[in-house]
Amino acid sequence: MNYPSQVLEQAVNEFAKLPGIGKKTALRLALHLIKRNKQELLLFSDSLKKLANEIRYCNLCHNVSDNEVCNICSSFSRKKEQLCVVEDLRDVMAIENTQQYFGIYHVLGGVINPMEGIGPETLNLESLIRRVEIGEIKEIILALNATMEGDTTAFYISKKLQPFNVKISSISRGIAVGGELEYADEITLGRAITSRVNYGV
Amino acid sequence: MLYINKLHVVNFKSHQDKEIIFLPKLNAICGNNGCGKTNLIDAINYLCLTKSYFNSIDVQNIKENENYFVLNGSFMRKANEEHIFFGYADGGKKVLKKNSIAYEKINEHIGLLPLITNAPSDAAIVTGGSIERRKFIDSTLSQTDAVYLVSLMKYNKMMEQRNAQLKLFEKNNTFDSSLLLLYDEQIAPLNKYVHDKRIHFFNAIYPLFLMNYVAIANKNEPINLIYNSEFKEVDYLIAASRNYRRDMALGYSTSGIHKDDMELLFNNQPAKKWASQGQQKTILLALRIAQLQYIEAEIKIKPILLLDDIFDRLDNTRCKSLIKLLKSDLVGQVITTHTSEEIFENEHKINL
Repeated sequence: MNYPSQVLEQAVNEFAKLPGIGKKTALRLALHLIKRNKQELLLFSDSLKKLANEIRYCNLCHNVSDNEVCNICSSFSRKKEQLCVVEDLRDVMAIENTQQYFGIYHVLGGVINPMEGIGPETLNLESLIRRVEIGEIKEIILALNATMEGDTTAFYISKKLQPFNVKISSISRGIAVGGELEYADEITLGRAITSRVNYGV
Repeated sequence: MLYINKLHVVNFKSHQDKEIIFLPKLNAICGNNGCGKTNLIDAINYLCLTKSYFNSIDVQNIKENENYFVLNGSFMRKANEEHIFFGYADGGKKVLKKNSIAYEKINEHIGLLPLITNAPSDAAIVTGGSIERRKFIDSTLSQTDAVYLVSLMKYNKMMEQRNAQLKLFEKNNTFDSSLLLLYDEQIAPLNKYVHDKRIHFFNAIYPLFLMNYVAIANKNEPINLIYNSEFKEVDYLIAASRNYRRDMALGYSTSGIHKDDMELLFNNQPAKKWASQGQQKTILLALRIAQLQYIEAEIKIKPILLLDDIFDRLDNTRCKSLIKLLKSDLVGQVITTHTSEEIFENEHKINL
């Protein structure tokens, strides 16, 4: 496509680098932005600049944070002996939204996936082991995706943490709340049966 | 009892509008080259397995200058009549209906009407590499055991990751056996499940295969079938750990059920080199019928057998004994294609 302006073309190319954005959508977004008033556009660019300059990760759990230690890690009301291991930031936000978990987190920044060139050394695993070594943590909850890569990573972590005296658990997998058995696939249903839980009223 | 009693095709490959009645046992479709015998076989394949046996691109199966095809079949299955409709229009989706009700997921249909097709290109099972024979075994077991298919798919994906890990070691000039062990410990139970099932399959079809061969050849010939696998002696974890160095050097995994082979032997030599063309065809047909008998034993229903160009490469004696075998109670409904009709005598002939 030919653009009437190089400045516009450059903006379109940057937008098109974002996930889920193609050239056409990128053009629409860029045209939309130049139609708005200049003040708004500058505000938008400032927030991007801030994102680049000021975003930090928590020294302990690797969650995004405005300070050296994030709000969750520094909160007194959080149980420091319970640690939930997740793949990325979105998972922290998802679990936080449940309002059912009061421990702390550890963000791996990915899962082991050699096909994508991701080995364990590229993940935040060493810092996880260091945190466990200190001895305050009593339970590790593995909350990774139910994919093969997620399972492999969970398996790897459980092996690495074996020497330490911590309880390792995994979030349960099976029938979704409100789901009907006959519509569940065999693998999910099979797993739900083998990892059944005691019934409590 | 399972059989198709009526097939109606519209705009399918070379056929514009064709209706055919079949009998519950042996049916012989006869006609000259290019008259569309194989296309009728393929239409039945579509109705049972929702896809073509010969060409996976649906749009290419539409008759020239038309923009859709429609297949209708009525099947008798355990004394119930099942009407299957398959329609495909250029640019649209496949539509599959059972008794006028459309399937939401087309794959749910697979398994209702078990079917075995044999075409001349399947000679590769005898003459091709070990991958062809593994495909033969895998496709049989996938039809009778859903866990097998899932295990095999998971195994393949794990192996892909293991191989990627080996290449990553090579690229970064590192090695960490604990990472390979991570995959191997997950692969081991899958490897065992697939291996044990294949051995079970092999043991079941071995005597059937030999009997079918003698029945078609009318005499004993020095043929044999063996299943080659390192896991008859060792466990996957031990075998894999022995090969770490070799895997590293080659950049792929040298241990696992993906290396197994079902060898076909003639005079203790590979049949692909030592058996004649006719003997190779006899081996293939004997395997196909053994496959059918295995599936019947597992799912308690005889699959329909489609034999394309049935007498290709067989001598007259073998043709006659093959017909005798196909008319016996060992197999259910059989639909064959052939160019000349002389060889069939009292059979149900469909002339195109």
